[in-house]
Amino acid sequence: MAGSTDTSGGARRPDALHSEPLRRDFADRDELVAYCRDVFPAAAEVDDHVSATRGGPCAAEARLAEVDPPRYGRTRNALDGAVTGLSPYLRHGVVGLAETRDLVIETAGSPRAAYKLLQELAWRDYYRRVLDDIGDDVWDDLEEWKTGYHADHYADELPEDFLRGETGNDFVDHTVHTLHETGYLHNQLRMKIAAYVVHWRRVKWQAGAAWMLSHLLDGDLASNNLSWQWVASTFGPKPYLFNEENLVKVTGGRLQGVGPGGQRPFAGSYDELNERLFERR
Amino acid sequence: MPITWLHDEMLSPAWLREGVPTLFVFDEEWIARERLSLKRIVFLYECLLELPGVEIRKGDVVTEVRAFAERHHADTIQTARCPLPRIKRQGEELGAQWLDPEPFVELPGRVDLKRFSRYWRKAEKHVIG
Repeated sequence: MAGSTDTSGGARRPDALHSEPLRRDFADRDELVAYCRDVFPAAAEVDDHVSATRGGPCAAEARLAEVDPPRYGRTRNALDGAVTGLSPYLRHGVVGLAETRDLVIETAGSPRAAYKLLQELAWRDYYRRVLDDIGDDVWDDLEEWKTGYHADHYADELPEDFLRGETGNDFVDHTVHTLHETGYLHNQLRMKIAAYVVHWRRVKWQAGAAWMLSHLLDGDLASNNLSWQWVASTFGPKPYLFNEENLVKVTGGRLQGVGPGGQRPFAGSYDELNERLFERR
Repeated sequence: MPITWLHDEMLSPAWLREGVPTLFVFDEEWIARERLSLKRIVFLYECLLELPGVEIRKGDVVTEVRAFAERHHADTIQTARCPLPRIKRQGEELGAQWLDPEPFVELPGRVDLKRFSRYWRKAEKHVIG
């Protein structure tokens, strides 16, 4: 047992400390979490929350059993829609893409009846193929910005008020806290918070992508970075934007995007927002 | 005799083989570089605890996998093919044998990946029929 005996009479060699595997015997989740805090102190320092979402094949099976492809197709864009919650398990190969495809088709009765969900799985396959091609370039702008600005117009770091979730804007602060506390964000919130970071705060997408990778249980270099690039416009034909009306609609009115003193940074038509946020070349 | 090096994109019992020693290494360099938070570590760990017999370590992946292979007198290091550049590099350094997961869709010939729409134009008929 590590540390129990030392017959050499001298200090143990540092590499001997690493000769013991990590533990597998935990009485419960609390004990595992305490052990992780102890063994990975730097991770706990980044953020100490633990998600209610459990890892492992059992939890993945339970999620798979609840997948409802037609309802997913109809409601997935709403915050309380029938999203699958499978992404952390797909990311880590706990369930495979092909296995999920088969199950989804079986549940829906036909591929056509599961069209939207199959297409979302295809996005994941697509992003993986792109990553396989480009490797570490996934951190570089793949195309030029279509915002009228250049990369050097964007800040390198996320602002402190944002990282603390203390901007005073209900949508922004809620989204930051949700990510930090649960390790999960609905896709609509991911896209919108990314647009806020890049277009409203004018911060490089790389800073936002790195922030999400630290926290998302499904943090995946391919889907994450390429989606940020898509929002930014460096991997797509135009920048992604949303407005207040759309935010209120997808959140069922739970989030208004209203800031301190009643500021409404997302109010306006798309034409107005384009005018306000981007530089015309 | 082979060993299996389990990486963070293959945490499924489907990769476990009777009598094949299997190792997962928490990659300390990756954890530091991507500033993984505690909840990500706990999630990974919970996945591993449901995979019986997998030895769990942390440190430098290549060093740990090599040492594990030597301890088990292994002549082959098997792992799953994956697009993550970090895993590709480590696998190449280890001379790993890449096992192919079942593909989501098999697309013959070159696939234009410039936009999803171009990929989907080709993939749709295979996925949806």
